[in-house]
Amino acid sequence: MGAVLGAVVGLDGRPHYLHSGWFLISVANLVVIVAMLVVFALAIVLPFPLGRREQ
Amino acid sequence: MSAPTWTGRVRTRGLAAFPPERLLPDTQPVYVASWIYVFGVLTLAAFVVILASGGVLALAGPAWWHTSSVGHFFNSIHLWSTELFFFFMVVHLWGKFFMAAWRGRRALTWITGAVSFLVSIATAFTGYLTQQNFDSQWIGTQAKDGLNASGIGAFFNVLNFGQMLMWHIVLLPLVVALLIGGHILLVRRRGVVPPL
Repeated sequence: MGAVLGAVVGLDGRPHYLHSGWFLISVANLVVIVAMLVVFALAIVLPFPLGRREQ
Repeated sequence: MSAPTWTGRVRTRGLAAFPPERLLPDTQPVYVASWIYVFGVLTLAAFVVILASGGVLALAGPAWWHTSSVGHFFNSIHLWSTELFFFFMVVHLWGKFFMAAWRGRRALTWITGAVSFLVSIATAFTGYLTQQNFDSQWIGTQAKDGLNASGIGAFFNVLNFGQMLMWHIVLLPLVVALLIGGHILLVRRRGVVPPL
């Protein structure tokens, strides 16, 4: 399982960075930040299942 | 008339501030039925997993997680529950910020949440310092310069493994747990903030 994950996301390789002038961020950190923004947006727009608690 | 003993006075004041139906409610306002209101309890759930996996790591002692497959497993659980803890807490923070959740006498609720976030960062930092690998050595030596420059390096020595381990497994988790406990009690006391 670890080998499969490693093959997909390259956990053993050198980390990748985005660099432009003063701006420097690792791809891993950027992925987490983008994922948080996506989850935040989905949490606002997706309907919540009300079920029996609706009142 | 106040109770004659301090325990009686604590009970009287506790029941006044937190009647059972407010402390453990069985209904919530309808506006709470939104995914954005879920991230507080997700953060709390991740915190429980962090404490449990940290407890298992503490049982076997430092270095066990480097030499045992079960140790690797619990070390990974501890790391990834921490990742999720911060992930959920940041989404919770964004949600509450854009709701202006300090409205309605909830300033202390906001402040305890914000301070919990800051102390959690310090707790995670001491965790990275006690990994016992090259990563922790690199972080420790880099942080040493910065903390020395700030003047607290003599009291909070990031190159002292024993001190950092104690901060990580005793002092800081206790502070985070107390802050989170107070935060939850304040949410119960003031109620969940309504949307803008």
